[in-house]
Amino acid sequence: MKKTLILSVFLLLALSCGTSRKMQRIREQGLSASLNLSQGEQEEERRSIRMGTRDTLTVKDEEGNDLIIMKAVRDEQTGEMVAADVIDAAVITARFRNIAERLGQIDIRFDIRVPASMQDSKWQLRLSPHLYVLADSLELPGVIVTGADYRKEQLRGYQQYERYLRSIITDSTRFVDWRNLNIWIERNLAHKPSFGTEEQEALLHYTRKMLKRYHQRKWNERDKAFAQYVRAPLLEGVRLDTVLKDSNGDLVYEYLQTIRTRPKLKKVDVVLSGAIYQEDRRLYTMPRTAPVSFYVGSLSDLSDGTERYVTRVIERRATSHTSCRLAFRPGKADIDLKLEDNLLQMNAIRAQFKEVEQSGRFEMDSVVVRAWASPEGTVEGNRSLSQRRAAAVADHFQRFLNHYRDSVTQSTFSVKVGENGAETVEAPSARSARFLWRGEGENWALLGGLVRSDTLLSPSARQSYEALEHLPVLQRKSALRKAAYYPHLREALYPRLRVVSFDFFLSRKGMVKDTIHTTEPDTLYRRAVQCLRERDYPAALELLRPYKDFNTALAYLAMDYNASARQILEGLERSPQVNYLLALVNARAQDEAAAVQCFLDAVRQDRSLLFRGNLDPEIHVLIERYGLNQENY
Amino acid sequence: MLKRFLLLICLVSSLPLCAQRYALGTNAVDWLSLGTLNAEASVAAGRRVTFHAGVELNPWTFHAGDPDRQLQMRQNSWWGGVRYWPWHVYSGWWVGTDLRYSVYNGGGVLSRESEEGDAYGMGLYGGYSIMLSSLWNLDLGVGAWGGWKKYTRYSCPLCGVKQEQGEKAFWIPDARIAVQFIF
Repeated sequence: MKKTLILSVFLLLALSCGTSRKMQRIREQGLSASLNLSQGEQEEERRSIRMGTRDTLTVKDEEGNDLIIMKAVRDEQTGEMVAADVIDAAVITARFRNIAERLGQIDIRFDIRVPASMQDSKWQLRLSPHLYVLADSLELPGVIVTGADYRKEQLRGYQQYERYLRSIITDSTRFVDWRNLNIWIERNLAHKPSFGTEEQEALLHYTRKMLKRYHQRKWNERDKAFAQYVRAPLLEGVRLDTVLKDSNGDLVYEYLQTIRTRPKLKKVDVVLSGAIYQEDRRLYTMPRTAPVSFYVGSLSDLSDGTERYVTRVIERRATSHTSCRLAFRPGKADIDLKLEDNLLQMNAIRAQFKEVEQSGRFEMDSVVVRAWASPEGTVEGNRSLSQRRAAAVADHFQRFLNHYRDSVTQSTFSVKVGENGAETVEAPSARSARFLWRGEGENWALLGGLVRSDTLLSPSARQSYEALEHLPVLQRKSALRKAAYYPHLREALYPRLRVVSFDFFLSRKGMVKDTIHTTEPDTLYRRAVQCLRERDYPAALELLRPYKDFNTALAYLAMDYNASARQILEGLERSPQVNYLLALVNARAQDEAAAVQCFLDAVRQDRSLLFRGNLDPEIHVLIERYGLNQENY
Repeated sequence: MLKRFLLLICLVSSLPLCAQRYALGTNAVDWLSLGTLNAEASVAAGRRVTFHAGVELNPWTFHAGDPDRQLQMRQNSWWGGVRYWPWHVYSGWWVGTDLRYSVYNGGGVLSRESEEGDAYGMGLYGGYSIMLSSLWNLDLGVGAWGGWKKYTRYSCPLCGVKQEQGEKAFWIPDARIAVQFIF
């Protein structure tokens, strides 16, 4: 018995010594979990490079001769490319990687490696990767490696806490002394009128208040109890919380984080930091690792920023219409400025004349004056009356315009539109406008409209008027005179029928041709290219769709609408960029021969596209698979 | 005296009450005191107040197998009082007070001495009523009553030898374990 005790104490000491010695070693060596580019991703990439549809491709060179391209690998000794079926896996320890942005997102993949010497059953490793994007830093969800004993301790705390919670009575009905309450109700409420005591009051009285308070306090103090029982709570918002059963070698976790790209994003750095915990104590803080960098390539970098222009057509001829209501005495045609608001109306028309004259851009070719009469009296009489009214008004304004021109002719200059659409200023010409006048007779059309919109008339009156409209004018007039609503028409509507209208026929000064085409920057297109650069592809595509040019094709490609992109690209002139995008379309369509052909064409035209190719995974695979980064192509 | 008691009963039961509760009860502690017959009636006068009136009668004389050894607690007592119930009448805690009158002749129980006389005074009680069912209560209480008595003390219940005679104040502790019928 004694021996067993001594032995167990010794074992315990030895064990704790082991843990602390391990910690000491970690501190001395400054150990840290390491951060690497994702091996899995590199392996996938190598596999996809090896897997081609064909071993050899035949493409055309610049002179149109056949060129045979085969899967190749660089020979270790000679440095020359040799045909190879299998490329052996080699561990690449590069600290950077090119990644492509697709649909506005990038996938960041990296490995976190925890060495065996940092693992212990009693410990928890908390690792947190940090992302540096432009000027921002972003903490990614952590990775946690938990020792089995550590987790056991954690869960024991949770169990204790759960027992604590279970012991709390939350059902308030369990505090009620039902037996006494029921007797009391039976005795005092069931058969006899009460002494004014309600059931609710009785329920309160027969509730065991002390017990209730006790459980309420337990419930309120549950956070304190949690802290007491659970010394090291399970962490939330982490990517991985894994439990180590027994430590056998290094632990590797492949971390994948998708982030939205933003304009000007070229590089993303990832750094790992972390610490070792025992219970709730921090034992050791790991030094930060060196960064792993991701260079972000985006199709939007290829966008064409050339300004686009739109054509605008200028017409020589222009018209302007205005009408006013001049009041005339019944049967008279002379303009009486004292009548109703004639002065106001006349001033408005004069202002209109002055505006056309002063604008300088237009010349008044002719003015058509039309006048109407209300339908009292005979049709013929009204026709001649309306003609006399139109003539009087035309005469009045002809004299007004001549007088006005005389008064300003020395002081104004006019703007003249040349053949090419440019405008020049020149002295005024003294062309006089022609005044045409016409008497339109009785204004039945306007009367119909006024009656239909007159809410003072009853619906039946409106209907009866509509029936009259189909009659010949003479019959209509006599029927109308008999109608009950005739006085209203005559009083309220007839004066409004005596109107005069003006149509101005204008032309641009100095312009001989009927239309001129001029150009101005297309702001819509400019905005679309802006959207493309900011990687807002749906918005860019929406705006670019009608243009069907290189940028439209680029937007289609960015949205993965490859068939639409191909349709546009095949109709464009084969610039290096067009060839490059065609290579991308063909690569996505698994047509390797066409893809390689287009890519080599593009590279021949513009050498820099060879380096660009490495940024697009589809092209990068082709370059690696067929060794396309050779001088001889 | 009986007339006065009946008057009290009449007075109590004729109180103008809107919702009436009555109780009839008997106290087991009295029964154990040499078979004292006892009864108490009460009526509720509102939610928290009850009036009580009661009587105790003990006409018995005991000889315990020996004609010379006589023991007795003969008495006629009447009381009327009031109780206050903090929660509700006939339920839970209560405190009460009453006025008592008693004619007694007792002795031979603890010693040979016996005493007779009459006593009047006031009692103070407190207790708790357990509801057994909607009709039955178990009424528990303790207290004391005290006052003034006119007494004559004899050296034994039978011999008629006067030891002492007079008037003096007194107090007696009291307890109650009563069964009550509520209606």
